Amino acid sequence: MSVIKPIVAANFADHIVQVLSPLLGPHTAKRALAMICKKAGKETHQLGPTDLPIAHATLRPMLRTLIGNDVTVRVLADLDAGGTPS
Amino acid sequence: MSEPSFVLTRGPVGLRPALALLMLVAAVGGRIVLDLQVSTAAGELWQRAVEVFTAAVTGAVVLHFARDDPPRLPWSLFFVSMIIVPIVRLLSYLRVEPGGVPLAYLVIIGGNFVLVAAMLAFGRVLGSSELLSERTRDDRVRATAVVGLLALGALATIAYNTFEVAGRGLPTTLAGWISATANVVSTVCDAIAFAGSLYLVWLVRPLIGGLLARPYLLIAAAAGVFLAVDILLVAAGATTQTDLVVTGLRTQLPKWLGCLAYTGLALAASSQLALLRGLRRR
Repeated sequence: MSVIKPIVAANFADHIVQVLSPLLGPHTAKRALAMICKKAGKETHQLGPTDLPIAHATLRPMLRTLIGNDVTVRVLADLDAGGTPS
Repeated sequence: MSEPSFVLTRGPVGLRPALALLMLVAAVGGRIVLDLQVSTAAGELWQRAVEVFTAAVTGAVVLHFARDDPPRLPWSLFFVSMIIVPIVRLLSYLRVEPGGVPLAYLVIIGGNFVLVAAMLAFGRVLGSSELLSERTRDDRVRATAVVGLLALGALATIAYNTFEVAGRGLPTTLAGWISATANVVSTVCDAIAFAGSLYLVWLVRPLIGGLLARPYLLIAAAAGVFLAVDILLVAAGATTQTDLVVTGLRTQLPKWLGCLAYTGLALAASSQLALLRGLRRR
């Protein structure tokens, strides 16, 4: 049985790493973040919820290859959970 | 983002290490205790249950993937190689030998090829993810060096087992030839599967610390144990674990290690299954 618990993410980049780390490990989660930044043409601290579509487009094919489409959709939905524009 | 955002996330998913350890102790310990305290037949029966469980869990993993999901193919091949094991045991038990040729040996040769295909397919799928594929020249050189060393180790093992089989003299019957072929093919395939599984470890090493790496680490560990079992089987003059007549520790050890290897594969599949089910529930 899983327990819902809130995580405080300092910024959107931290949120991405927090969501991906349990699955991909901290090293690859940071690598995924770097790839999103590269695609968005931004630095880590500049990333925000408006970059969610880019994050999805970057991560979807890579995650789908590793864990299949269904689970990828769930993981990306977790990214959305922290993507409320401030 | 100026304010901290509250993110809804769930508790840990995946197979808990304590449960995995418990499964390992129960499966291997059960075999050893039954062998020593009851009878080898009871131990064999226990291991057949472990093998069937391994195939069942692997099949459950396959069912969690959609038809067009990339991981479905390697897990399907892995499942086929696992379902072949109980078939081999059954054929061996029933002594199905058309024309004097043990059908179990022929099926085990096919099963070994499927296992190799599964390892290659895992490597291909994992390597195709941009998250894991190597990009720098240095990384590629290091990867090639590691795989080259593994290939040398595999060749040495194959050479040892081939000379061991050849040293007994040429087989005089068709069944003898098939048994010798099964020995060599099994070693070659297990060596390739082991090298392939270590390549998987190389591929997933950036994932270490994440749940996704666990199944592949367990597969690699199990493949290493299988290779050791092969060497022990050839040394004992047997083709499959069920061929071994228990006379002491030397003949019992391959059976216990075999149980350990199948348990490792069951844990790999269970780990993947728990991960997929856990994430699906989120």
